[in-house]
Amino acid sequence: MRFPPPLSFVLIAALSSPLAAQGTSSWRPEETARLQAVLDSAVASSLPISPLRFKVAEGNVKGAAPERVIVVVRSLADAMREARAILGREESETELVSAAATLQSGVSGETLRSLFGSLRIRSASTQVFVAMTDLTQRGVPVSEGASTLMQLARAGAGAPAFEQLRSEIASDVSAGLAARTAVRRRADDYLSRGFTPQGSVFRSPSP
Amino acid sequence: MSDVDDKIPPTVAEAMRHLRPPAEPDDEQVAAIVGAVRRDRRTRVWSGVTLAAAAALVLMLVRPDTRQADMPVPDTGARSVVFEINAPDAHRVALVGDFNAWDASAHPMIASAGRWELSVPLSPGRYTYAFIVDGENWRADPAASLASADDFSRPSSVVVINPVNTSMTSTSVRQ
Repeated sequence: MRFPPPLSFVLIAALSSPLAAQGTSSWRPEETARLQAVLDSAVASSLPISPLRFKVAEGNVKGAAPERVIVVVRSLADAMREARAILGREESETELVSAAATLQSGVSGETLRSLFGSLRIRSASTQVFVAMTDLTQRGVPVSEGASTLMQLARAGAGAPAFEQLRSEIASDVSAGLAARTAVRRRADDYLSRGFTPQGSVFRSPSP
Repeated sequence: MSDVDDKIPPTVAEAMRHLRPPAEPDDEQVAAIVGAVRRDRRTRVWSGVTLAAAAALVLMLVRPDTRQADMPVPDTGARSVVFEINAPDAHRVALVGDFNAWDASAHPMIASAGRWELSVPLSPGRYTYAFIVDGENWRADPAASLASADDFSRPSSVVVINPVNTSMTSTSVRQ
């Protein structure tokens, strides 16, 4: 199955855009064909193509070998398929890519499903996935991070609360606090304060 | 790039040369690029080539020190986002990411007392990005979300821009 011309141009452009000559690698025809096959398969699966194209461009600029780029793009596409199976086809592209990133960070599909299911405010899904990925990348054990986030979600935390959590943990870590300690402290604080109907943390402890 | 051109079918390579913008375009080249890029509304924002051309045009039309933090773009729901990083010893810092096809020439950052910053209009969505210091040192944003498992041995960060009608944007960068 041939790649549609517009997507071919995008693919070739993504591979060959100058991008400040940050160590871009040349691609052999068979490597280009293999990448096209990955993107073709993603299109056939009705996956959003933009995240995959961005990943190609990113890899190219970062000087990754074509084989590595192909592996990464295929991994992302597979993660998006798995995330879609968990979230359902109503998900937004942002939500889907965030969930896929969470899976790629080492969180199992089962944990992702539990995390998603614990949300009282569905619109917080993207932020909770971003927070989960961030915690994992900071070395917080998956089970511990997921458990904390689910606890917050069940208590009514929404997008503002999860974003605040992620931001404050980043500040705490920058100040020298261990991520695991920061997560527990912040979560306990939020739970003691409670959440507004919109999912923000109350400014003062709830009565 | 010539290696890539040599390995790509001639017709595709020719189309690629027309689509590919130069690293530092002048006015005439920008006009040619903008005129040559197809106005496909569905792919315009996300096409790496179109992004690079649009970014180049923005650079030509917008003064580098223009602060756009209070000027959201109404039609697309885009918000002006200020990216910043502390790099007092740097000579130049580039902002790269999904929003500019990772083109280090698209968004050179502006120095101010050891900090580097730049305001960029971003439509709602999720973007991976990084800073390139002095052309070779890749740095993630220490205040932002970490991108999942660094795929290419270079650090990256993530910013999520919520739609305009929501009250919160998942990002560490100033708006």
